[in-house]
Amino acid sequence: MKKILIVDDSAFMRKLLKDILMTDTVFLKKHTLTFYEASGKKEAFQHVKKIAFDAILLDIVMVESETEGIEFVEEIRDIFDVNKIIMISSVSQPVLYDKCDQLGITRYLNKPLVAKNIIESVSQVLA
Amino acid sequence: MPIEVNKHKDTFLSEAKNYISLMNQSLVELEKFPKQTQHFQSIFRAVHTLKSLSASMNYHYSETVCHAIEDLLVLNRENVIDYADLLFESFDYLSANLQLLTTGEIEVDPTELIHKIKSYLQTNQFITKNVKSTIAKDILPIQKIQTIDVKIDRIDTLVRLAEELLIKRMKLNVLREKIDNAELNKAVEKLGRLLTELQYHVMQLRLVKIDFIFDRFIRTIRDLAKQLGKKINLVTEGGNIELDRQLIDEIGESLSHLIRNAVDHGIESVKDRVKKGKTAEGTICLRAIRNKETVSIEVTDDGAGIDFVTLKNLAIKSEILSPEASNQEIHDVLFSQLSTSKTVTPLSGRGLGLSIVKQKIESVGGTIRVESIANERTSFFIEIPLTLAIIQALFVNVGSELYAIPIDLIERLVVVTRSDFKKVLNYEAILHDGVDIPILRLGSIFNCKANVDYTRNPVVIIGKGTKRVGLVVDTLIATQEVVVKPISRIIKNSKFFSGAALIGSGQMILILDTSYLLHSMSEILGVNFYDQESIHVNNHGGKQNAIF
Repeated sequence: MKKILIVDDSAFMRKLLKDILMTDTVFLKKHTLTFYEASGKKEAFQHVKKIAFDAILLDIVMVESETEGIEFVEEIRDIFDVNKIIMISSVSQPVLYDKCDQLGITRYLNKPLVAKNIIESVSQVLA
Repeated sequence: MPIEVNKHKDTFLSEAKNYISLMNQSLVELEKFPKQTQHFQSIFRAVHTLKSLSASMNYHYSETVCHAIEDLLVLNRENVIDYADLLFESFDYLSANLQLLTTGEIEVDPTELIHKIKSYLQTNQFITKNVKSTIAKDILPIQKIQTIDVKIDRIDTLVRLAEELLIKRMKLNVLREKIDNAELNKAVEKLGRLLTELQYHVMQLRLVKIDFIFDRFIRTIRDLAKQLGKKINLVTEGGNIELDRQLIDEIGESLSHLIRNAVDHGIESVKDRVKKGKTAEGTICLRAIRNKETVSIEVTDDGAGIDFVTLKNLAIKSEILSPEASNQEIHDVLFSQLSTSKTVTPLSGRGLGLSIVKQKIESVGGTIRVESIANERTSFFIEIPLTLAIIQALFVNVGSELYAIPIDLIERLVVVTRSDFKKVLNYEAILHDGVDIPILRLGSIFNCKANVDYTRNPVVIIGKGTKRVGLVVDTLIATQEVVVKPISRIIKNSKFFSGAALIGSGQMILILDTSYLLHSMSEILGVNFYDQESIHVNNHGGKQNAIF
């Protein structure tokens, strides 16, 4: 069972992401998925402390700040492998990309979400 | 692969509404306290999020407007007050758009608004003419109430009244046939369609999110796990799926039973799990999936699995199974009375009450099956129909009583004469299309005096293919839609009936359990039919008139 954490302040986005991953049959044949959700970095941190996730889908701009996702990575990078993180945002600010690079993050997805790209990224992380 | 977004529309609408109201509130605050930058931040984030939500839903006009607002905000962070009116106007546009989407209409073209924002961006000058948007003014100021809380008993009253109307319609249908007037026919038909629609919408009112029961288990599992010194995490999926309140009440207990079993017997102690190389924390997963006419609920635990080998051996020892029993038969034993008996429980470690669970699920027309892999997981799959309330049934007379036969299993109706009946070994049959079909005389099963015209005796043939049974009745009345009501346990035990229906006269009539009659012919008559070679007499006489 693969455990995936979705961190996004929008319940709609969390639902949509789950929906995309749950409706791709080829993908589902390979993986049994269990989803966990968090609406912000505090909640997400509680999860990460307890559960060994196989992948984290992480929004950058959330309620607490415009860079909440990045702050979250900074907090967990000592206890969680950043290669398993997929950043999701519609912000295309070079500053933020640089920041992600510095933190060792290699996977970004831009909103609006494209199902194929999501499946691809998650497959790579779970492989 | 296109993303099916429409099913998330409601979530989008309610979330979007919150973001827009947040934008408005924050902008009002910012006007009052221009130095408090947190208000600016919150507008920016809300607009930004709404932009991506709209894009995901393919609402491109809303997306474009959000994008333009972002441009405005980025251009001039310091003096938002200068263009606050333009922002408010844009928020009004978004809000009006949302209103349209809520009622199923399409977005309004924002070209004019976009043009205004662009001009402002270029010149930093506000275009003073056409300050107010025309679409927003009329729709916006009063937020309409979208949802209200209603007491359950009020809804139940509506459901009852709707059922009553259906019953009255039956009476009207009978009258209509008697009077046979074209105008009346038309009116009754129209009324009938409206009533069906009314019934549907009233039933919709009783829908409850399945989370209603899922949420209860969080606490149950926590408490039980703590008591047993285990670590268990509950994961739920599909809690947003809606089910009839009554159905939720019916299955809640069964789910609770399965979950208790999973906690108690499924998930191992932390020590055992670690020894097996598993995570210390066990996981129980509750997953609901909505199908076209049913809903499936899965209860999975990643625990020890079910020991089918021991179960099989015990069943063989108790002479319930033969050593050649199939996997399916072994699974069936799990749900049988056997596993509740004292000899098996300590070993099977799970069975307690599974037969009750199965009974309960089947009583609402559902099915349950199990999958288990030793030391890996156990999954129970429950599938239940979404609505049970209304079925089409054929009304027949047997003796002085009226009975209803659900039409889904009826193959055809025939009328036979006395000479069409014949004895085949030790049961009775009729010859139909060159094939012998065994018959059941409902009159003798129900112990009532038949009141038959032997020259024209109606037979209801149920089943299909080689497995068919003819039910001999006295007279055929009519087919009608009936509202199924559960029946008391005493009658239920007789197994011949699946429910009861109320008809026009207010009389309660019993609905035959055709599936039971079909599959238990042998049991009822103490004869084994389908293994015997029937004797076919092709030139056997007697006229049959197929009337259906």
